[in-house]
Amino acid sequence: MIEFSHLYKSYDKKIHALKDINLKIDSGEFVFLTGPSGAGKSTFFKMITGYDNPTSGKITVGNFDLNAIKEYDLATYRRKLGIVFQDFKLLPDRTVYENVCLPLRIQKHHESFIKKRALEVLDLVGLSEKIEQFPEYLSGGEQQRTAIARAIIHQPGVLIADEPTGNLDPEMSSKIIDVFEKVCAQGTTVVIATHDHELVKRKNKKVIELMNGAVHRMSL
Amino acid sequence: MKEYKQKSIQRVTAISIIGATFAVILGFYLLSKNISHILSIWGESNKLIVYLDSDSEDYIRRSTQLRLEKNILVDKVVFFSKEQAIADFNAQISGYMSGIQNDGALLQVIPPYFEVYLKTEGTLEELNAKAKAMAIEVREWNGVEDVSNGSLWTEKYSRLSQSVSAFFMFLGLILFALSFFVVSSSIKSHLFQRAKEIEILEMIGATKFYIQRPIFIESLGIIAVAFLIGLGVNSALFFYFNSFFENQLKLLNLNQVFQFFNFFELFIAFGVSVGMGLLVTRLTFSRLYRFRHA
Repeated sequence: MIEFSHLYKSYDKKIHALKDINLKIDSGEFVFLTGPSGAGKSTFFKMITGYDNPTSGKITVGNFDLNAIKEYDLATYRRKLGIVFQDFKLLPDRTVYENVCLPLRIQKHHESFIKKRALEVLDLVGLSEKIEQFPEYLSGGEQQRTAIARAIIHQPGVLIADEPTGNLDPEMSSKIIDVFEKVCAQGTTVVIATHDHELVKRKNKKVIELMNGAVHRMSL
Repeated sequence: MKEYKQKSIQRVTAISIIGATFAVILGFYLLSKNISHILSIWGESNKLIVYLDSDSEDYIRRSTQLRLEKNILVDKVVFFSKEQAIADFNAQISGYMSGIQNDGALLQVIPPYFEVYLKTEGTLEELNAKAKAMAIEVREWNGVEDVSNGSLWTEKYSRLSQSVSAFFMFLGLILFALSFFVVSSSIKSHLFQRAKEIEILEMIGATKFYIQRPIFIESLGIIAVAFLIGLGVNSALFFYFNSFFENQLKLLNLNQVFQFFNFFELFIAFGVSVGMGLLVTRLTFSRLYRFRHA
């Protein structure tokens, strides 16, 4: 499903963000991406989302060869992804409901289907009471859950989340991970970057540990 | 909500700046158009004075009048007999030089003449050239003593008119360049403030068309509203000045010759403005993408 082959990413030929990454994540797998700050987790995600190109090496996600992907195909590809950004990236002038609906609106789904799905996922992340709120009136945790709802509303093939539980209390963290597991059970490949070692231990999933831009450890 | 208000403020700011720019440009165009029009109207009383020999026979006068009237350039011919010419001369000059009307020898040389009004077709320059050519031709006719076409005055007038047109054209070009800059800056600032929104939409799979379409429509809306504001300001000023000239400066009769934009001019101006807005939006998008991927 996701395959990195001898992938390198350097900035200004001095900073080597990723070094010789070789890995394979199968379809429907649940993977934790760990490592200290600066280990290369964000760059790893930038490669998967097609936000940045590798300096060398190859990356394929499903049928998409991201090295040679065309602009129009990139939009098609991204519609198959669900992304939870570390800084949430919510549109501040739209309500929670409107933010969550965006992926389905972009895919031109029928409004009644959009509404049904939006209410489902908002209920799943516990935000049914906040649908008319603007992001600035939400707490950090609520904003994060809005971003999660937006990432899963279109049942993506791959879900990537950068520190999705960073702003949540343990109870809500657990609930959110449950949501991700449910999504994964429906066939979605889930990759979660986290610092939460307790969570990683508890869930007993595949772990990819990055260190200084290289894969330090990979364990099931 | 704060962001929503901010976006509205950005839109209002862009509309105000672009609207003010359009008001100035349309105003200058209207001013230039009316000044050129007034100059043309004032310059239109182009005529030749054909002086006959003092002792010319009546049949020569009639044949000359006939030939003049047949000329395709001529609109109207008015004959002034020697007696009328002397009476006019006396009426005009006696106030300044009393006693001159008793100078029989001097009055004797005043000839009968024709005032030949030319058709006002074509530009002032063309009219002037035609009058000059006709004067040369008529001067050779039998019984004609001299022809005055006031060429010195019309040439100077024509040059003044050309200079005024050139000045306004130059000013128009400067204003157009300035307006491009102002529109460009406003749209650019408006778009760059939405860079984050564009990036988010891209990341969740929106195509360029999906992202750009509402922004192009918004730019068009801003330009259209700004254009209407500019036009509204000019309409108000036009009707104010028209009524001012009608009520306060009746003697100039300017209110009768002032012209507002015609449909064609408005269509072109609107088209150019919208085109400029679209071009600027397109260029700004390219710049935004370059800036982000740099």
